[in-house]
Amino acid sequence: MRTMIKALIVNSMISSVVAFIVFVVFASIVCAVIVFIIILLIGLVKPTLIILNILVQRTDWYKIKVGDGIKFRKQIDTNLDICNLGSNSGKYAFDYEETGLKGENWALGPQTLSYDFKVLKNYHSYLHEGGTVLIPLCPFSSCIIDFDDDIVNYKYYSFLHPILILNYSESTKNQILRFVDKPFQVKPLKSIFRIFKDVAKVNYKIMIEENLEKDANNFVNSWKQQFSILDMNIPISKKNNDSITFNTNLLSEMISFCIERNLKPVLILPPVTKVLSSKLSEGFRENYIYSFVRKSNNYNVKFLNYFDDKQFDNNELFFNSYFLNEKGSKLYTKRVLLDLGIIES
Amino acid sequence: MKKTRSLGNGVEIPVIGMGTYPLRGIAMTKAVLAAIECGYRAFDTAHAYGNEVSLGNALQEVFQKTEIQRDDIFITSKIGENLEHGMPDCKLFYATYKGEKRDIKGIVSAQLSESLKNLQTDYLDLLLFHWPHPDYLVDIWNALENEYRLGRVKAIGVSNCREWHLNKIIETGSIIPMVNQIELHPLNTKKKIIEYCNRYGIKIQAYSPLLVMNPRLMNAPILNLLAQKYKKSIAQIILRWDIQQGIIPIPKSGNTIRLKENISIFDFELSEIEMSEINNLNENYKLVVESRYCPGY
Repeated sequence: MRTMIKALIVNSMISSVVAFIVFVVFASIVCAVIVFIIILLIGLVKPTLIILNILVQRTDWYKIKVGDGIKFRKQIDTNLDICNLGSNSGKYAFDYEETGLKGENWALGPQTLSYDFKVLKNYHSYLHEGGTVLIPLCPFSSCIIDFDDDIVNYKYYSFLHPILILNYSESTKNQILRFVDKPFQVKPLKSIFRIFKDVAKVNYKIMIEENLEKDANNFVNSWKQQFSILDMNIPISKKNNDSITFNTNLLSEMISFCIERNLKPVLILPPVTKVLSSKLSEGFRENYIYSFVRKSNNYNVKFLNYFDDKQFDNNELFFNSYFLNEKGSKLYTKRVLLDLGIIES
Repeated sequence: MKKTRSLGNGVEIPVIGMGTYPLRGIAMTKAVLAAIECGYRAFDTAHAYGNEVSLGNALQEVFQKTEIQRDDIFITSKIGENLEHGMPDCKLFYATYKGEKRDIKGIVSAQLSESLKNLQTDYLDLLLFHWPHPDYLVDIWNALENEYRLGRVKAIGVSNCREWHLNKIIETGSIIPMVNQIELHPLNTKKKIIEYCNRYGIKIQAYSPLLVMNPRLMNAPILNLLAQKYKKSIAQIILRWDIQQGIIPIPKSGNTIRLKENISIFDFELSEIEMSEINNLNENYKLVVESRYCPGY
């Protein structure tokens, strides 16, 4: 009996120890699995964020907000042969990749002449002596002094010297720079929304005639609204006249700035579709563009006007009624360089 | 070869100097003591470098430990903007900053007083302005002229100036700058500005003369060939190329061996062909892209 009890106790002790060992082993495995999953998740966070940030950086939303400035943050070559300034029309008009020249497209959308000058002031030393500075003009370049909303100027925080940025603030700079590098972390919800909205859509496909007409009307109507113009053919309003005077002096100063530094400024009107060009009457062009150019052009520098150029009659060279597409910009850049005698055919 | 050159007003400047940026503290003291022993008598600093106090202390140690006194030393400093992340913050000499009207004369005077205090001296041998900030270029020069007339500086000059900056200064000022300190090395020979300065008797000082030992420069076959021929280092060949064309290099080093090497360049001479072969290395290479540092440059 005593032996049986003893054996029972020993057996139960052995069972307990075995059970305990099994429990410990099992618990360890569970813990190890949990720890592994946690480590895996933590490990995945970083690459996931990197991927999300890359996706956000591809959205139009990001590009318009700050993305155009990224090109200034990479290593820029010195001794550039040519650069262009400008707003969206300049941004989409020039591509120096296949020209064999050292060129930089410094246009940002949207951009005033005043910021064109600021970009030039901050970056002109990248050009070699005698380098060419293309100054593209838009139909209403003469009428914009500054955008009402400071947000439009946020894109400059990542690459312009603070002294050049209107209403510069250090705290805004910190926010913007964080957004530039990590847009998803700064605005996660908006980022997700824009990833689905912007990345999914196919950009810049060629428009059919009917859509071009609609698009051209949209441009004209938004300009009319922006500059409080009822009829594009009637004389310029007092407010617009003041802006034109301001920009005339500014453009004149830009030209002098280039000449003084042995750079070659060229005023240039990139082509637009026939649909849009037909809505910009001779009267409008004279009032808002040609007289502006004449008054500003104190050194009689080259003014190249491609508004009605036959070579760009083809709608397949544009992605909307106003802006050239990739094919168009390559063709156009070569044409300009040929016209300037910088390259030979 | 004469070990000094005469500036426009007759002040003598050593043909080679020592750049001090970014040395400070004990490293500065050690480097300056070693430099003095090697034969350097000219030291270049700037208000913006934040190392004037260190240089001042180092020179005091020199005056105490050696027979060399203040009159034997040529100190250059520069008026300029403070640096933020290595870039001028442009808060003093830009009209657009806060839209306030600037008392340029007052700013220059106060900054010079601070430099003199930092360097523990009552005069500078040469005062330059660091960058030709466009809004007040002429006013800054006028303020430097004023300090020169007051006798707080023995010579005045400019830094990083191109022809268009000097044109304005020469047209409006009453004194022609005595020195223009610029980035200059065989990969950027700046012939045009040198010719311009020579025409007006403006001495050129070369900063970054060795292009921080950039391999593109150091691996240039002609320099290696000449180094072998003269049994000199490439740095010595470049510095000799400088002084032979009347340029005053200010190489920086905290290393005693290099300091000695950099000043041992008076026992050989490059031929005219060799000089022009070095000139042919020019590719307008820039270490400092000027308009990034000085918007509106």
